[in-house]
Amino acid sequence: MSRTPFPADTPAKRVALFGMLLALTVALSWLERLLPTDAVVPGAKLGLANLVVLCGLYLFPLPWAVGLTALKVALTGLLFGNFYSLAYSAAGGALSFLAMYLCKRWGRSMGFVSVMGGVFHNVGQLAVAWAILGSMGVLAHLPAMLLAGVGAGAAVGAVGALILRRLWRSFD
Amino acid sequence: MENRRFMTPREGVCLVLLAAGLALWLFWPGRTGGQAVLTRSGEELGRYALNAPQRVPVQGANGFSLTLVVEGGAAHVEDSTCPDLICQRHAPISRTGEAIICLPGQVTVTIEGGDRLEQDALSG
Repeated sequence: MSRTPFPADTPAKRVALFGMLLALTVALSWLERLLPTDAVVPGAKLGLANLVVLCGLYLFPLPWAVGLTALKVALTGLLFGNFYSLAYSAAGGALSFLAMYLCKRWGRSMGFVSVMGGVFHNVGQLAVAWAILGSMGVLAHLPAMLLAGVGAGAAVGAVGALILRRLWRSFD
Repeated sequence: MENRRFMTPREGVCLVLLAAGLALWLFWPGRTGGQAVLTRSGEELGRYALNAPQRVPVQGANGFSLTLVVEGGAAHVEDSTCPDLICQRHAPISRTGEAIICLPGQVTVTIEGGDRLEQDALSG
């Protein structure tokens, strides 16, 4: 194994990969709007664009991965959302990223990292809902949202692992 | 070097147990027959017994409005003017602790104080 920790190891490669992944978040967010996941659990989303956040975490040094996540939240929020969805995405995205980063540092595998990302994304969103609404009723959604987070995180993690393996192979 | 496996067996078992626990929590038999408690921005607007069918117009925050409908021992939301309509698509709620939330209008409907044990928990 002669891998460098981060495959895109020159500034040009890194900027190019960063730009492609950022563009992909917009495409995936748009695609996700066409999926009727809302019918299963109201307000639940698959979080397809989190695929890119997961990949970013493994392909870039920390500051770049943070930047990718922040730009993803800002771009998709401005393009597809409103003020409310932006607030929830920001809280969910930040908490999700933190959870994924810590799990990765802890040495957990990609699937586990992704599931924790999905779970904590929803924890962050519920926390904002609780803060805005000031109602304990928000907590009634906790089990359904956490379960949805586990499912979505596992699905995103499975696809993410496939993509990352191919990317690593092509860079090695 | 980070862990590049998809998942170890031990992590898989932990996550399945987590999911099973959450599913148990979600489908645990609840109590029905309580009242729907309506709040806006954390302030209680009213309480409506689930056994008395009625329609309650609600003026939410930020200029959004909706109608709380109580019928058949359950509560749901109709005629919402909010952008995402998640509250309106939410299935009717009847179990104690269940809630429908309209985020843009900052309106919540929570079921409280039920005293009848639910007959068919899994269909709930």
